[in-house]
Parts: sequence; structure tokens; C-alpha cells
Amino acid sequence: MSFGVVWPTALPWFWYGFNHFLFALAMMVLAPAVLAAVFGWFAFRSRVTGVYFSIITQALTYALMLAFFRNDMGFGGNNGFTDFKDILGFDLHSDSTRVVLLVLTAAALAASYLACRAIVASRAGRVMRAIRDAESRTRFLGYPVESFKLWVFVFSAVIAGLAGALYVPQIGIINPSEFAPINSIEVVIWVAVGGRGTLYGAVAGAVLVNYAKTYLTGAFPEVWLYALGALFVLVTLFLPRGIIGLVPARGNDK
Amino acid sequence: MSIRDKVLYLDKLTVSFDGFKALNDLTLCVEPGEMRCIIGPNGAGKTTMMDVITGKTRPDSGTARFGRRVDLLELSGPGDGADFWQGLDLLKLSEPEIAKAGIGRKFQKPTVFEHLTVFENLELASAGDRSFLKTLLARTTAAQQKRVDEVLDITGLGGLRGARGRILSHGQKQWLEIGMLLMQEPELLLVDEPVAGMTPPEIERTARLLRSLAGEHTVVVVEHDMDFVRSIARRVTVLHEGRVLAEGDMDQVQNDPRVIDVYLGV
Repeated sequence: MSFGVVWPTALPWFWYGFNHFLFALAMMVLAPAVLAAVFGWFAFRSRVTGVYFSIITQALTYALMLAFFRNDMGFGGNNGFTDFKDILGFDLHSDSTRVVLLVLTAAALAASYLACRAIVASRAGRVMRAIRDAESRTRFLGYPVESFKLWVFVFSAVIAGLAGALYVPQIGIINPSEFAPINSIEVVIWVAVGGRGTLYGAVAGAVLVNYAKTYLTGAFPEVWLYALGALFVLVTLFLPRGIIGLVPARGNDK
Repeated sequence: MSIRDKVLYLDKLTVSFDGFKALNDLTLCVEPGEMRCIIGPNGAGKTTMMDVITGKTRPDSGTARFGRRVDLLELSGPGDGADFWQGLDLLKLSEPEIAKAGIGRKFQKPTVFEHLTVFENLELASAGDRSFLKTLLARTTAAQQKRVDEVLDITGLGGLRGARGRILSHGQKQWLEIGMLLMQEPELLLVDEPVAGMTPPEIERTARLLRSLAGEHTVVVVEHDMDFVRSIARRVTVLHEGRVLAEGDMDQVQNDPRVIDVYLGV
């Protein structure tokens, strides 16, 4: 995105092109996709699964955080980027721009939801549930399990890239502390609170937990992390299916 | 003995693990459409034999060939219609290649997809392109639908087509798994202890199911349950210490003094 950032010296090579909006838009998709494809290819090829896969993705994120904290990395060091002025010539602080960004965010959520829904409802979605239930059995049926995992991993990285691109102009700052493990844990809690194994559960959980976060970090800032931890423990113990589990089942647990 | 007119042709197979000979000069043939039972005490080499046939274990020496029926009518249009046998060297093929060539194996412990319906379990097992992008856009074709219906019929699971795998009984899971094998239309079915843990009515139904498969398919069953073996097999092979001890119909092998000595007499 063409933010009006003023640089003291010449930009590092990898920033060239980002003054073109369409190039930035393409990179928003390509950068996370390529990173996920390379990382996922190595991880899935080595048959890293389950909790071990979660741990090494966390380790990768942590390594990236440490790298990005260095000032000579070319991403602004621990200050990151801030003071974004405008996007496509529109003032980022004007109400109308903010409304448009909010509407775009809602549209992106709807589009992502529909895309995920389509994948889950396809035969590929059934193969993925089969992999979850009995991975080696699925492989024995002739499905390239690693390739399915890689495609979905790359797709989820693209959605995350889209989320990040919408987050920064609305929040107004991005720095390497966003790489911290707590952020990944928070996303897991959104899903746990909303309801695992459903798409709408993840949406409901994200809205509810973030509403609570906005309220608590304003009213009692020191309580928030404890509240988040307690929420995770309580939901895991008493609401294994999340808020969605409170709604009578429709007999269809997609 | 020749490969002609044999679905499975094992000759002088030897497999040893750390000096222990799991298979010792094993020679065994199976005719097309046959229903064969393999019995034998623990350690006789039954599982190792299945492992060699499916490519999981490579033998130290010997031959293993799979005689695939190729219909000349299909190959070259109108002809005399005679079947023509083409041997495939199983020792040169990988596990997926052997599965693709037409040998399906059912393991002892049933594994069906717990959160998919019976129909979906069968659909995923049906032939078709397995790649992510193809499955993303795949529609279930009328032919696949028909094949699923046929298999639901054969396995007697028609009333459960919309039920999820996890609610099935042990017996129903076994039948569903046999159905998933059938979706791949294998020439040869290897079935490992299909009735372990089943109730008598389930055993009876499994016997009927397997008997109905023989003829169109060739079925090789490894089983311990003697009543079950008697009820399905026309021909029984007794393995002992990695080689064939006796072969014949159930009465013959049961009265064979060598067999009584090592197995049935116990």
C-alpha cells in the first residue's frame, strides 16, 4: 500500500514496487503464500504433524520476530512502521476512509467465509476431514495427504495476509511484537470460545473475545491477560464445543 | 506350475528377520475367482506373506507374481473373447502401484472415517483423480453414484448410507471397510481376520458377504475361527513355520495328521 512513509535513507531493495498499489496488493497475497509454501513443503514432507507442527510454526514466528527486531533488517526495527498518512490519496484519519476500510473488512470476512465454506463442502473438504480422522488410511486410499495439507496451509496464510493488510491501516501501527506467541494463542482462543470444527464458530469467537478485550483493556488493563487465560481454561473444561455448542445441534457437525 | 491361469503365484519365497525365517521356501498359487482361506498357528508367516504380496516387505529370494485378467475383447475389439493372462512382478512394484494394479488389503482393525457418512466413506474410496485441485472441483458422477449404491447393496449397508462412521457397530465398520475396498474394484482381495470380535450373527453375515464376492473377485482370507473357515472356504491352505504344511478342502486338512499335530490338535 502506498503509505506516505518518509525514509531517512534509500529504501532497501525489497521495498521497490510497494509505491504501486496493485503491486502491494499482489504481494499481500504472494508473500505469505510463498513463505507458507516453502515452510509447509519442508514440514509436511518430513511428516511433521499435530502438536509438533504447531510448535515449529511458533518457533518460525519467534525467529522472525527476533530478526525483525534488528534495526538493519529494513523493517523499522522494534518501532516498526507507524504514522501512515493516506491510502490511494484518501486521508487515513478521515471518517469516510475509516468507514470504507471497515466495510472492506466485512466484505473480506464474508468472501473468506464463503471460500472456506466452498472448500469444506467439496470432495477436497471431505478428504481433509478423512485426513483428520485417519491420516494413514487416507494415504492408503491413494490421496496425496501432504499436498492437501500444503494447499490448505498456503490458503490460510493468504487469508492471514489479507487480515494483516486490513489491520495495519486501521490500527495505524505495525511492529515486530505482533509476531509474539501470545497473538497466535489469542487466535486459538477465539476459535475455542466460538466453537471448534465450525466456520461460523470461529467468527463468533473472534467478535466476542475482541469485544471483551476492547472493554477490559480499557476498563481494567492489568486484568486482561488473566481473563484471557481463565477464559481458555474455562471454555476447554466446560464448553468443549464453544459458544456454538450451546445452540442445539442441527445434526450436522461440519 | 506356471503363472497361466493363476491370480497369485508365489514361488520359493523366503523372508528372514535376524536369522528367523518368517517365510521359508513358500510356494502357493491362487486361481481366479477362488475363495481361499489361509490358516496356521501364530508365527506361521501369514501376515508376512500378505506383506510381501502388498509390497510392504521384500523377500530375500523367490518370486511373487500377480496374474491380471486382461480381456482381449476390451483390448482389441471383437476377438475370440478368451482371457489372456499377464503376470505382474509384485517384487518390482511399490505399495501404491500394487494397490492400483488391483490388489486390495483389509487390515485386522477396521479404520473407517468416523466423521464422514457411510456414503462419503465409499465415495472417497471410489476411483478418480486424487489431487487437491481435482477433488476441489469434483462432482460425484452418475457412474460413481451407481457404484456406491451397488456396494451399499452388496455390503447390506443401504439403510445406513447417511449415518456417520462413528455410530457404526464393529461389524458394520468391517463391512464398510470391505465396501471401501470394493469401490476400487480389485481383482484380488486380501482379508485379514475379518470376524475377530464379531457376534455369531455378524460372523454369519460376513461369511455370506465374502462368499458373494468370490467369483467376480478372488478372495484370500486369513482367519483363526475354524467354524468360519469351514463355512466359507472351498480350499484351505495351512501354513507352518513359513511354508505350506497342507492344502485341500476343510475335511482333508482337518484329518491330516501333520496338521492335527501342529495346529488343530492343540
